[in-house]
Amino acid sequence: MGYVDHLLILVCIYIILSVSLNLITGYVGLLNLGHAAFFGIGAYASALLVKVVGVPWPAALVLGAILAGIAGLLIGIPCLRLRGDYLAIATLGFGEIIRAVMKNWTSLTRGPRGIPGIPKPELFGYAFTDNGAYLALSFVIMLLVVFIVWRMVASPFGRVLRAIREDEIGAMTLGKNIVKYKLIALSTGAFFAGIAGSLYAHYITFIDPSSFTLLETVLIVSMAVLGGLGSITGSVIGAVILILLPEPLRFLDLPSYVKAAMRQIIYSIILILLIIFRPEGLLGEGAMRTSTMRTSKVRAWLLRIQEKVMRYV
Amino acid sequence: MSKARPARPRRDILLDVKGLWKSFGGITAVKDCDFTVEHGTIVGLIGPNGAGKTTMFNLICGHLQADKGAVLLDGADITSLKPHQIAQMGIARTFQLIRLFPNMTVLENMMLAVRDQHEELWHALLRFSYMKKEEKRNEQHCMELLSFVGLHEKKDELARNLSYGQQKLLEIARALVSEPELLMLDEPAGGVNLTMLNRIKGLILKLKERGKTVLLIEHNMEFVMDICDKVVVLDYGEEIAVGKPAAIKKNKRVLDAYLGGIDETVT
Repeated sequence: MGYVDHLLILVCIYIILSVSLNLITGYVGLLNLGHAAFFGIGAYASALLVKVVGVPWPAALVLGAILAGIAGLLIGIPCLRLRGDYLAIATLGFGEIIRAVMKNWTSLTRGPRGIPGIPKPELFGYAFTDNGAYLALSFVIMLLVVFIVWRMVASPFGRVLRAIREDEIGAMTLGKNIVKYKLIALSTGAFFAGIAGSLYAHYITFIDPSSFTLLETVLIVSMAVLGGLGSITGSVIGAVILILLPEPLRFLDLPSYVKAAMRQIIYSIILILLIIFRPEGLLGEGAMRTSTMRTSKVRAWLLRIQEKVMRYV
Repeated sequence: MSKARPARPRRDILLDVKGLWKSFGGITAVKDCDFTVEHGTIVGLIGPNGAGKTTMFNLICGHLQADKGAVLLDGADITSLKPHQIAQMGIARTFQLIRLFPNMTVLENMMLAVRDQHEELWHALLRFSYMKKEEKRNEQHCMELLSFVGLHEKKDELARNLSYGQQKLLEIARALVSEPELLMLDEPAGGVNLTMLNRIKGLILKLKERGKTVLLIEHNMEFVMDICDKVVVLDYGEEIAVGKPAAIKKNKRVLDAYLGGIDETVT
């Protein structure tokens, strides 16, 4: 089933994106509106390294991710004095700068014409040209990323991250070096977004600046918020829902411009309903441990699964 | 609390404040203050609003630098040390305004105060068994302190769901995590109800029984007079009286400072 495989590959890529954003925004509380830029840097770097330089794909994947991580570090150093809205605006600006670079550095990126014919990844002589094989590859990488992020947050390290989100001065008083922790979180989050970028570029085989706009960031943020900030399981579920939910539209007999608009309407309705009924997200941290919560059956069921999985991690 | 400190020759005086001065621009907040805190005692620092009590705390803890004078802890000069160095020397404090992590559990709030634990990124990724053991040990230590203040049943509750008084208790418990020699409490009973007030009072007395030394700021006179072995009274940065609670109650200058000399007794 090529179509189902295609959707599931996208789901895997977006899970990596929403989980890595959640690390930055949900756990450390840094509102990051430039996530698509890290995604784009990973995609462009990996595509160019393989296509132009001829680097083998696994190396390009890692190098692209490292480059995205360095970008995270560079944006982090001047911006981490900022908080909340100001940091959001700074990262938003960063995202636009990266998009402008992609569009205008034509000698490298071919500008708006994009990079076509990006080769499919090869590993030990095996090319992942088949969608099924690519799905397996993305799935394994996605699991790895989710596992690593999970380890990060469910540890004394993650506890410090959340403490910084709760009260920076309080964390400082307890002797935590908050700048260091923020930079680590921002650059590892960017690193994982870079991995997603490489997976995306070599799957679609064509990238152009329009794939890495603010709209893309908003989609990723929506996934993390829908699932619940501060919950890895939530981010996974958020990505699954927002990728799969508009799909049935494809089978409706409607003109394509109506379908495109319907997609946006569906996203908006989901988010509006969410803000009214569950502002903390489906599995948000606040929802998990509050004793006064109204436990719905579905959420209890999801939390039970999460607990079981956690035991094995 | 269970860990025994290595035996060392003990001086009677744990904290020695010598001729401390601090001014902000034209205002002298602390003016030539001298007092001592003896091992295993509870000392109260009182005075009207703006008397310089919190400034004194900040000077001792290194959050502010004194203009003149010295602070000695167990004979060692800590006057010019940084706050985290002073904390490592064995002074822990709480703040007048509660500084907890509201969306984290009670136990997590405690665990964050543990010093020198493995909380780097690579620790999180590798997670060797000795780190898990350490975490377990720290957890046990924190739970002991939580049951000491009577919050052990709330360990998985988010800090923001605690009552105001319970948050105060949690802050005291958190200050105890690092096994401090001297515990400095800034208004431990400020704004809590009578039941909680008595609970906090009992707690501080229990700490004394366990050999801890406490220096506290408090506005509730009954509270101070009941539990303190010694009271230091500040007024406009000046130390106007030092002595046993009974003597302070009758001190003319203290009565003047507090009540403008209208009433005869401090209740």
